[in-house]
Amino acid sequence: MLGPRLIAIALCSSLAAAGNHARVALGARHEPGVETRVPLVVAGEVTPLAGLRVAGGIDLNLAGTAVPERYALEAGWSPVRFIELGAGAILRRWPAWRAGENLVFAALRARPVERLELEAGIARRVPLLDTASWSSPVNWSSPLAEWNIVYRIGWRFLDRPGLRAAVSTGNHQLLALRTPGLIGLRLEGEKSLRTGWTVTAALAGEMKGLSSALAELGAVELELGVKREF
Amino acid sequence: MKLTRRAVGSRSGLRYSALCLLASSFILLLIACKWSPREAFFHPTVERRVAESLALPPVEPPVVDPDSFRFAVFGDPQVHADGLHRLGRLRADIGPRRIDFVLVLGDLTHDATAAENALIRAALDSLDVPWYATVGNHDLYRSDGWTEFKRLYGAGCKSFLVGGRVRIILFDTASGVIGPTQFDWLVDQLALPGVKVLGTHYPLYDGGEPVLYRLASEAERYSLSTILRDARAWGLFSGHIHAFRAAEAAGVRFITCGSMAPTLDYGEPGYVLCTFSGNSLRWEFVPVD
Repeated sequence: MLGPRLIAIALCSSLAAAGNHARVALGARHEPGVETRVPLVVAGEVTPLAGLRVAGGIDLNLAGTAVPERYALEAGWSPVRFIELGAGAILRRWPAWRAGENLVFAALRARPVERLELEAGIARRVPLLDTASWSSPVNWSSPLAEWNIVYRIGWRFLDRPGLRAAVSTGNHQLLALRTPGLIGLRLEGEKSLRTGWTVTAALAGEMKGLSSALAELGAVELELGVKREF
Repeated sequence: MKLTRRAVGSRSGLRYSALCLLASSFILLLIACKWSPREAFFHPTVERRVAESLALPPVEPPVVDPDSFRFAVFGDPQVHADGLHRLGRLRADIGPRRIDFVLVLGDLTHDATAAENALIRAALDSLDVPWYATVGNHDLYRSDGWTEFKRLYGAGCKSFLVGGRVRIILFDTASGVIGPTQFDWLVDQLALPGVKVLGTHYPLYDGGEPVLYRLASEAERYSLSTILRDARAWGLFSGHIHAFRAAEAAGVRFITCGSMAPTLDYGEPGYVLCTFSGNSLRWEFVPVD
């Protein structure tokens, strides 16, 4: 099991990162025949130095054991305004199956035009299936370990004062790095309130079977949350 | 002004040319492959295929010496219109290596045409031992692909006990998905007695390279892996990748053997030969010329 120390470190990372913004979101994710999750996400992001961004987050599955199942910490450095070099780690756990995976990634993010965001990189995925070490955050070797490409293309199609909406396809978010064999589509929006809070919402879906050229609907995900800028 | 217009014109011309190139490449690909593009979105779903497979009569197991028997496993013979395949070399091994039956892990044809199906069906029948096949994505690339597969090769998911000792479980991942009904069926089959050997088209794991050809959903991969681990399954054979590779984790062997394909992604052509004797199952990779 993940020790309380690691949970505390990850919590502190996400909360300490609340300097610039913090968010809490409740979601629902259903993948037919495999899993149903109700994740409660706590995440934050801070810019401690000019050009440096640090983000972290934790996700608890309220439909499961209600213990943290996902931890993420990433950092990005922008040498120029529209480019960021990022790296980070994600730990994912499935307590009911006694399985987990540790992920580490490096990616290049770019904003070639104002509303377009691109990300490309490489990730190391380490599946953990042994019952003795499935939750180990320090186990980075496995005969099943693999490299995965990281990609994301996002387009902010609505950008009005207090209201923003974007659509994206890709396999990387703060707390998840899916295999490139899934085609994910995500629609997300933000509405700023007068109180200083921002309401966030996201609807996402995945198509499986990219390498078979036979598309089948995979998981469907909905997320509602609030964000506070500091 | 003139310069700007020319620049804009040249940019939109470039964009138009790129679009035309992309569209014509796609059309050429469809023509060359004889695929039905409709099948990308309107193929029978894994839920429907599994329901129809489970409604078919149970599979007759091969007759073997229960204390000692052998079987060959491979995927992706993927016969094209030219009729070239590697099954002749396997046929030559059937007698000398005392192979009792054969498992084929999908992609029997490249385009699922009637001519290709006739070629591979004749090649399988010529082996003169029982063969059992599961379905691959290429077998569904025509509107009648699934109907023809069922007619010629039987169910996509099937399970049978060989010699009262080894349970063979073939299941359908032709569209890169396992699906709820098949997960339940797999759990039931893995609870049955016998050394459990599974076979399917998509690999769960296959080396470290950043390729797309593994089962896409991590949740499906870990769910199935842990079901296999907890059921103490012997191993899982798969194809889809035209090559041979093996790994073992949590007591389960994950063996990719799509290496009888006409063209390989890497490595040498061959099949996996499994030998059951002394109450244990061993495997070896047998290269073919």
